[in-house]
Amino acid sequence: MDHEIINRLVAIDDAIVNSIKADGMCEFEKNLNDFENAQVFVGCTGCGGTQMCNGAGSPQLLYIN
Amino acid sequence: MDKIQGTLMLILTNQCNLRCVYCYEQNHKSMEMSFKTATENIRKVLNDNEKYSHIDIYLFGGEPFLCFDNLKKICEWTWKREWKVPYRFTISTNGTLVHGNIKEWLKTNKDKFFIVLSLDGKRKSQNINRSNSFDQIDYDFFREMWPDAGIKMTISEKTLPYLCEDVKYVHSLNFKFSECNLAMGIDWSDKENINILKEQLQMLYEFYIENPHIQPANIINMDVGGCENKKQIRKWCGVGNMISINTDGKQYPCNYINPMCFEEDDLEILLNIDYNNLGALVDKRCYDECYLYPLCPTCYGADYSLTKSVNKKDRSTCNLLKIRAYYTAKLMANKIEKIDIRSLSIEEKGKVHKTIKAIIKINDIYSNI
Repeated sequence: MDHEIINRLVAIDDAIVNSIKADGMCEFEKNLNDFENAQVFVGCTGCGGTQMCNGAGSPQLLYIN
Repeated sequence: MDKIQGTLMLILTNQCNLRCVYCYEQNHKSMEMSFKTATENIRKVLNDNEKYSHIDIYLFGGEPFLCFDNLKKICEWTWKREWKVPYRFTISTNGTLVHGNIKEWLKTNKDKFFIVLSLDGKRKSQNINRSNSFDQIDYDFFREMWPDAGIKMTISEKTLPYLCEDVKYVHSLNFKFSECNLAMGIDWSDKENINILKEQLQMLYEFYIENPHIQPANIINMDVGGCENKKQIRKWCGVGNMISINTDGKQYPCNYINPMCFEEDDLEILLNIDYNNLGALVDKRCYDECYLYPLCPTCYGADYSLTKSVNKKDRSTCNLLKIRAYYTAKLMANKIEKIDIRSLSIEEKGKVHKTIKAIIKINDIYSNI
């Protein structure tokens, strides 16, 4: 990737960090922690992205009560 | 205790009418699950509302439609009864038998299923990988019945040179991708694969830049921002948690670690592993040294088949993963440049922030592979 793209990304990131910091650093840290928690893999309980996964995707679809 | 989303995988038959080049199921002995075994297991989980919030019942094979009569009977038996736990059926099929009465039955019951179709691309690739099966599948039927269902594309060494064309073809059929992965459990160490993958992903990158409305397939669309998460050992899949029932009624850790895929002596070793002990499953070298550890697809059965250990990963795919990460980063960089950050929620900003950090690191580390 050329340096110009990277520089533009750095500028975008600075703008993001500044806009979140405006709400207070604690909130920013909290948000990042929330984001990390949201990363836990909860989609398919089968094979998690390997070829053995049958790719059922979102578990919210089509449940029969 | 929090309830969990459970998985009941019923391997209805060991038989398959195809012999895909990357198939990990080696022992296609003629065995079918009995109706009694299937319904006993369904009854057990669908009444256990203490433990489960939802249940996914996967009807698996072999090719499950080879035993259509039994499959139909099992589904209709389940639908007729009241259960304590919400559930859905998912069928993973090669699609070749979905004609005539099978098609009619599926049409009638389409809302009660989630179907995943395997398709490896254009005629040439599908026929190379999947036993000349291209012309045996009614693609329109699957797309019309389950427009939200995704295609599972598996790339073999022989179809890698056609990757871009194959992915574009699946998009042209208006299918979504659920998975587009390199086959696991095979040796990818031929260095030429690196150049081929680079070339293919560069073309795919250009295609997605020209067609920004198309959701990129995961071969070039990984959650690279996850590399900036606090590192933690995690299990990649549901091994040991899912209830995977073989045709003989015995339970195994997953659909890979079972008698279809391993001989008795290897199976004995594999069945003595505690799959809930994450320390026993992690490849320490990968965990300690690789930035891409959170993105690295891991199948313990496939790793065992190549390295004879569930915690020693097959390294023949390392460079290929790095190339995927690099092109993913490149594509994401382009997308992020077009985002109006004022429109983002705080959560989205956090995600973009992490993604940018990851893009910069991936570009530094892997751009010269």
